[in-house]
Amino acid sequence: MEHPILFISLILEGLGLPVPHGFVGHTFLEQLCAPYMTYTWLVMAFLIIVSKLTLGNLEMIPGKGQNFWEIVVGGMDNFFVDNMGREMTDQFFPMIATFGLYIAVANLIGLIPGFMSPTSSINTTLALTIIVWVTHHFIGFRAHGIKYYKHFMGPMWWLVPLMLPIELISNFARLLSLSIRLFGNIMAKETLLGILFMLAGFAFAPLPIMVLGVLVSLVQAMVFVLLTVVYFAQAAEHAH
Amino acid sequence: MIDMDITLVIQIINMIVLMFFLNSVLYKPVREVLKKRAEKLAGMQGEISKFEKNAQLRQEEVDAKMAKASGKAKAALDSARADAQAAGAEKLADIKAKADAEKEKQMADIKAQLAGATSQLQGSLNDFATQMASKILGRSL
Repeated sequence: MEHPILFISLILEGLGLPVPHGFVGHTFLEQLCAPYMTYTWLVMAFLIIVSKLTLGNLEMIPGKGQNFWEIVVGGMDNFFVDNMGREMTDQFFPMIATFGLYIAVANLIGLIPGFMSPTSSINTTLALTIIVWVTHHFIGFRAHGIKYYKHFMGPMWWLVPLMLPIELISNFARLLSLSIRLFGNIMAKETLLGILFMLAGFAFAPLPIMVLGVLVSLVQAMVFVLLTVVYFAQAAEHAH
Repeated sequence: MIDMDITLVIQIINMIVLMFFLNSVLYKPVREVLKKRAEKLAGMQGEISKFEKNAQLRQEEVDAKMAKASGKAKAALDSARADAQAAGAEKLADIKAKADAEKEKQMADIKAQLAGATSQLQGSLNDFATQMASKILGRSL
């Protein structure tokens, strides 16, 4: 189902660019002008510009903007250190924190009329998931070298024929579960809101659904970050 | 609904670009400030413990001085009390000796007076007996 009003798509159409009227475009330019792509760039610009504007000059005694970012960044830093240790946090903080902030903002902007959540597209969520999946194997190989294969062998040698396929399937399933969980939740929220916008008017989606939307948006961002941290920590751990 | 295309790769690039931008604009400066503040607080904590130690040493010094002064005052008080007691005892003994001497003197006086009175009465007694016998006999002896 297509969104009723997407202001970036309207602007692009006004400029004569080919905005797709389905979920995805067919030509390369149409694909670039797809709403989830344009709104991804909007979220990226929003995060970069807002953090630049609100931080200002950093001081030892923080102002309002710096205080907010210190709570967000410091809180995430503490959480990552508790679960992955200081060394891995220092290496992967930018990646996981970016995922957290991007997913939270991308989920939330879909609640505003005229905007859509880029995370309601499988291309976006799968892109995030592929980065996480590749990185957690990179961490595993870096930490254990070739012995990383022991992570997939199970606790005893005679269980290998049973455990190896299970472990491989469960590991590849991470690609699906991580991406489809986020995509499915946000897609459902977007679809529900789209229907309600059409039924109740574009400026007044029923409040309880909006409250649920906020909750789902934040919970999904948290779940994605939490699972990423768990996967990274598990990959660095010794095999059983 | 689930169509994957080239935008998947573009989204991966987008995320990597966003990571680099946010790292330089947001994470690096904020984490730097948090680190500096933690270091400063740790330094301050060291200074605080140093000051606390100094204060404790000072307090111990004052306590020792107070104990010493208190001991000195107690010794002075004890010696003054002993002096006063000795002086009082001396004075008391002096007064007692004086009182004893006076008493002895008074006793000697009384004894002398008693002896005088006794001898005087003895003299009068003979005269009185002679008079009584004359009266009984009805003639002078």
